[in-house]
Amino acid sequence: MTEIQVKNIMLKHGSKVILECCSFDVKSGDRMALLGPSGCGKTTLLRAIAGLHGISSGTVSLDSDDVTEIPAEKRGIGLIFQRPLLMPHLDVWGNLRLGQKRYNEEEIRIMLDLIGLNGFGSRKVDQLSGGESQRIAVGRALLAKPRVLLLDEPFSNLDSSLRIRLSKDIVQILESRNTTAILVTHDGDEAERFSHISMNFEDLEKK
Amino acid sequence: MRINYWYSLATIIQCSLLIIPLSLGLMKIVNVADESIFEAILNFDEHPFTQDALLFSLGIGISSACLTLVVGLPIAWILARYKWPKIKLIRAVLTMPFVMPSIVVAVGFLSLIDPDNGPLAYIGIDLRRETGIIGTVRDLGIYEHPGHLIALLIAHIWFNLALVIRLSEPSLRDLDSDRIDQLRVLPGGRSRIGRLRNLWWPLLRPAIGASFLLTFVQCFSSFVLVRQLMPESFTIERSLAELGGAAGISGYGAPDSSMVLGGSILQLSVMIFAMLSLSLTQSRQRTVEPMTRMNNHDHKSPNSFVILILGLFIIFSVLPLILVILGSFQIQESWSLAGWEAMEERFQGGTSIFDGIQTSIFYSLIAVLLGLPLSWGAASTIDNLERSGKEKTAVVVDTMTLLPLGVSAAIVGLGLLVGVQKTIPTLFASSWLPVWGHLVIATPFSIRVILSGMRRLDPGYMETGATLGLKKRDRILRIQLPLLRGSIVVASALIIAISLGEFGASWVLLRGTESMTLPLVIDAQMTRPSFDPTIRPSALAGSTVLMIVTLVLFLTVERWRDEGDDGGF
Repeated sequence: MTEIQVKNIMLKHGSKVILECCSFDVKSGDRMALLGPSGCGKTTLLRAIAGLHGISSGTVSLDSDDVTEIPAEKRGIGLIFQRPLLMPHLDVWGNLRLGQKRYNEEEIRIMLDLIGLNGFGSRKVDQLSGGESQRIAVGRALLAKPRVLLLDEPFSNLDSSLRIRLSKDIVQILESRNTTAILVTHDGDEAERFSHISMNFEDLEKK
Repeated sequence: MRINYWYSLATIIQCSLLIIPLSLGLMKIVNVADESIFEAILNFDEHPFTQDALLFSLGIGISSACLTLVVGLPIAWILARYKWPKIKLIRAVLTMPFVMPSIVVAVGFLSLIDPDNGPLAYIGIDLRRETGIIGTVRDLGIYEHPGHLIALLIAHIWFNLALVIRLSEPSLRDLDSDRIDQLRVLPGGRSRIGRLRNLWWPLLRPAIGASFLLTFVQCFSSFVLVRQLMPESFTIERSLAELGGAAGISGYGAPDSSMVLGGSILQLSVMIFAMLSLSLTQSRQRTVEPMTRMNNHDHKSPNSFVILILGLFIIFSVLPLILVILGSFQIQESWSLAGWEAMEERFQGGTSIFDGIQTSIFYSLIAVLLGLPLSWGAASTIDNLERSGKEKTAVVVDTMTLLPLGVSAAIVGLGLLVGVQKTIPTLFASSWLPVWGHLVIATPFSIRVILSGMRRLDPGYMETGATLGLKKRDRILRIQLPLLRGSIVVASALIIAISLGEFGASWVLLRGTESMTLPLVIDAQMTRPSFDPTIRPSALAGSTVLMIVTLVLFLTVERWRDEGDDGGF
């Protein structure tokens, strides 16, 4: 269980400010949804928190440990992209294995069970549906045991019934693991289904 | 950080491979030559080997490029605007000549124009001895050896036809049909001339420009084809190769050094001008692409005349190669395996074909072992710079890695011979130097292929790896390398093919030594006067081996190349 604090983050591209002074925190085990229209900078903010995008000022802390200067691979923050981005050269098992520091067969079996894809281990990723792929992406991210999980509109490419089912399933998985999570979305209903707290991107504290 | 350091080091090494020998060689020749650079350029014409070489190079370059366009554009049109079964196979057959080593092309054309057994001799065209109708043309006195010139021009067209097809066919094939229909009902497109002026010419101009310039560069710096098919004539490239051995030695052959100095500067100037024009033309090509790849529903079935034309060109594409294979089994008038058996024979104490094969395989393996990491490092540096927003620096590094494309093989060989071997003879054993030359010539292509793959790779994959906690080394090994497997295979095949077929640089460095590569041994056997009837079939057998290996590599490249990946060329 980890608490995340984002303080006064500012991002620049050259001299142009692309994100200005965002501050918020999410308590350990909570799930926050961040709502905002397309192009407002939600994805950029998540990438900055994950360490994939350098920030010009501000801090990102996990349980009061400042991780701003720590590279993405050592930060302990997982990120699920809009597209599942499963590795096409690996099967389902190989993709899940990518999330483990040390190989643990049993752990992968449990995860396959948890995401409802038992027996899918040897499937090639191009044989999976959109929903199945996104489940694998979630399982893979969780196997890396992230302290905080970020989700960048992971249901946006799915049809509405699948979107509702999958988001409920993922909420259950996150609850069972008590994982702190931030979801960005432009869908208010999805935000409500997913989170304890919802925030509008525009309402984030600006100083 | 450490990995990026190695990538930068690989990039510096790749760029230095050309810059160091070239600058050392230039300094050495300037010191040894008895003239200033300016005088050397002005007096370049004063040697039997260099007389009219500039004029001949320009003439053969421009005329070959024009003729290749005249022949190639209709073929590209036929391929693009009609429905053909097995189109991929047809395209592969028609573009195959371009990947053939130049010595194989030369040997194929020598077989085609053979005055005793060649197919052209059977229909009364003797381009070699210039008798019959060609003799009549010669007697008109317009050109000293019209038969030889025609043979060279046809060989250049044959060799470069693939360039025109590869560059023009996609624009013709994928042109949005609605756009043509739209133009038909507008005043500017009601007539054929109007459509030509307002649609086809703007669409094809960049491809025509690029094809012309690339063919010009190839033919302007033609060496082995000129040497074999027009032995009495010299391009600058050939003059440099022939005179290079005596250049750069203090107190000896100062006039030769002056000729090499003048020729190199002239050659470099023309090539760089052509490459800059090419770069400008290709940047224009991008603005034309949006016109294509939408609806193209007007492709029709070919009529008999079109089928006949394409059939003749397919025969034209494969005939010289088939003649090489057949010739390897022929001793004078009868069929025999003696040519293949003689591959181990060291004619007149020279190097055998078998020795040449071994040397070539050795060099190509070393070239791929060294060239692949260098190419990966350089491509990664450029890709990282592009992704981190440092586009201008990326363009500079990209251009530096491409420099060898603007320098001919003979100049690369001369740079190594004069700049390295004659400067530090103890440090570099001569038998290793050709690998250096092969790396200079092959890595610009392999870098383009790998870079093209890296640019198309979704950055999300590597970022996913980072958020899963994989270190950079693990991300490269477990994600990037497997995903770029196709590009790596293509790059390796290209390095091996280029190394195996390389002639100019190897000829400057290795002729007459025991470490001659296969193309050099074939060349030596084809030009060596001998009464032994197996020497020519043995050279043809060596050419067949080279051709088949190249073909296998070409098919590998086609198999692994992704749709839409032109590998940068």
